Amino acid sequence: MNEAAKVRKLPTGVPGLDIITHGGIPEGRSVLVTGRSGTGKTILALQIAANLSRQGVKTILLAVEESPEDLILTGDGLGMDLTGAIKAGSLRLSDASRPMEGPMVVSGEYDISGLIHRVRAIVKQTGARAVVLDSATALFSPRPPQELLRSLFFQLIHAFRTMELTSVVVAEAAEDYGQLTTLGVEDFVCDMVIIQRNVVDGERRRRSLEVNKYRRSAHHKGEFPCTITSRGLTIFPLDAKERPEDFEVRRYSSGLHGLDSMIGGGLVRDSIVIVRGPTGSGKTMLAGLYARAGAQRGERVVYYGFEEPRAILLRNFAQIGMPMAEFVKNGTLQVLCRYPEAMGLEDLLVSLRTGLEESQPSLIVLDSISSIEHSSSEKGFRQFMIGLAALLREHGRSALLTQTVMGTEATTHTAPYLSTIADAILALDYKVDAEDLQRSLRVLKMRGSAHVTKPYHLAIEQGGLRVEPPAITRRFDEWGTSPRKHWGARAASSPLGGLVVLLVEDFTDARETTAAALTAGGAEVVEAGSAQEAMAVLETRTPDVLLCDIGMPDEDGYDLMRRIRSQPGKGGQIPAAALTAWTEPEDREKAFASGFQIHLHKPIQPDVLVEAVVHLAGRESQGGTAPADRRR
Amino acid sequence: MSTGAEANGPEPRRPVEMVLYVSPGSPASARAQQNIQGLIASLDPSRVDLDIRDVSEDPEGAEADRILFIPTLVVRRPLLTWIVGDLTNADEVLRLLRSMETEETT
Repeated sequence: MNEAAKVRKLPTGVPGLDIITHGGIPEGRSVLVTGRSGTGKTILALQIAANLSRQGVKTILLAVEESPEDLILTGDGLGMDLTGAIKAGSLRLSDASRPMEGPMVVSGEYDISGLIHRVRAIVKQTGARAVVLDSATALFSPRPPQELLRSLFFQLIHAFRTMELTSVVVAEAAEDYGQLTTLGVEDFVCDMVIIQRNVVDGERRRRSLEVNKYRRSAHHKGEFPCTITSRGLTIFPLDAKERPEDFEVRRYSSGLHGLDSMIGGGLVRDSIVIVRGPTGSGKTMLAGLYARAGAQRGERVVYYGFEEPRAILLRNFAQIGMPMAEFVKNGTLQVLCRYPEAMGLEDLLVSLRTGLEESQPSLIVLDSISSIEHSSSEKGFRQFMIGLAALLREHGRSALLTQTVMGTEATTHTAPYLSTIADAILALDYKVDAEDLQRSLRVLKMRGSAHVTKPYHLAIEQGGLRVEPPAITRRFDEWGTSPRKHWGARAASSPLGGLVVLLVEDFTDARETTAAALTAGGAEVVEAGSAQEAMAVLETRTPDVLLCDIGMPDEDGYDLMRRIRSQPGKGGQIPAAALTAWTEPEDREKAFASGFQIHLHKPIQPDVLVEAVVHLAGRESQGGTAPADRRR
Repeated sequence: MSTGAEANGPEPRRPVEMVLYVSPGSPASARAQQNIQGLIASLDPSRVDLDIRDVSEDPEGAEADRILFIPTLVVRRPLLTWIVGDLTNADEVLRLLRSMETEETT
């Protein structure tokens, strides 16, 4: 029998919680809510009580730690309207706090049937189906001996269960990461454990919520960022619900025609785009074009600027020929400049959520997320990004986020969670030549859409940016004439020293350029202009690495590779990389199937090429990242 | 209720008013009922007003008296006190009750 199918759930209505619990708390079972003091346990418990009663699940609230009056005050202050629920008869408060009128003395043994009978009477009278106890820690204070404590708590939970009550029990923890509760007995008998945390992280507080255990049910694991506002607790789950319209690909212009042509006509609606690049690579300008194009189409756009004051941002846009005033005036574009340093990340998330709910924009720009990153810890930033992505997905909005990175990081380095969040990643970059600044734009990733993988030229001009395909020969010239200039220390250290590389390429210019890059890296390069020539070389030599073009006349790279792999001995096992302009997923699969270990895209940066060869030769990578698309 | 005569001498002392909450099928409740008899005997039985209530029959009373644990002896007079447990340490309880009386009469 499938046990998992038996868990019936009650939605809590707490924003985000039902998503990470896959539907809510277990009906007729017990939930433990634990955390240090000040983590918001009572707020969560009250919110669940208020929401359940509003949904028609009559709920008993057992006030132990605070008087019922104080709890009502707390709840009503957070807009839960406990007073209304009590009046409507859907919520019943019971005072289980320690009497203050006289002392309480313990003499001998006892059980908890007093409270149980009280609850039973209320259930009989009102038909209650849920009970919230705040808190177990206060209930068992002074603390009985461990054995008795365990037995008392078990009696209580067992009684709730026999009365078919869904129970939420609050308990205190001594620390954020440690024993679950100070009493140390509660979690064993509860079907679900929720941990709330409030960690001081650098100079900021970071609230999170974790579903630590959920018996017989799947749930999202790990800590999720959360926040407490004037409307209670909100959790920001990573995986928000899939929206049905996600399946239909609708495109819109990025605001940059050249870019649209690189990505199959435009950006995909409801996607998150990250634009990364070094300072001065044109990110803000691209963000401005994106926002302006949206406003021009009559969409509602919110532009969050975190880098400079609003007046300066608008003035810069106007100076480059992208005036925004008209759209700001007619309300299609909102430009909000904030300083993340002055605002906690939680507050920022809340303000973003409020903004989304109130002005219902279809496009959102955040320029830049790096300024947020720099004003928080790594963990805090990660939680913010996860929360932000959840927020955007929940509302099904399109967003463009800019990120400032250093130099080559733009193409190679990505925090894994950022890659997951982004549906598309665009890398802006520039190289300084003797007399010129060469700007480039590259599509690193584009979920659900074909796209050009090679970098395009980018120019800043009046009216914004211009994108155009590169002139292939010019690019090769650039590398061929002075490859060392682009790779700095790594090339100088001869990472390929002592290696023999067989390079098969029918196009002479390309072959010479690639050979120059390899030679500069210290390798001995044996060149072959065709598959035939390559086979001839292999009869007399055993190179360390094979680099092979795919599209060649007579015999292509796949056939050559298959032929080599079918040979016995060492020659048949030469590590090989396909170096090709054919970059579709099918091409890659075909290359792997024919026997290549690595699939490299043309044109290739010399340092990526060198690194791939180092990898193939089995040499220790020199602190670089592994090339993509590697397979054994 | 009270007469002026009481203030003039130590006798007669004010009555002790107590409610013992028990529940059926609870061994601790049964022990408490035995122990309370011994306790009353040690006090002046004529001055003790004891009410024994079954929490399963009177949950409202338990709610009003803020009863969580069973057995619980609620001493209303001379001083409001909650004594939780089967009253095994009768001597201690007795001492407690007597100290209340002295406290109140002084």
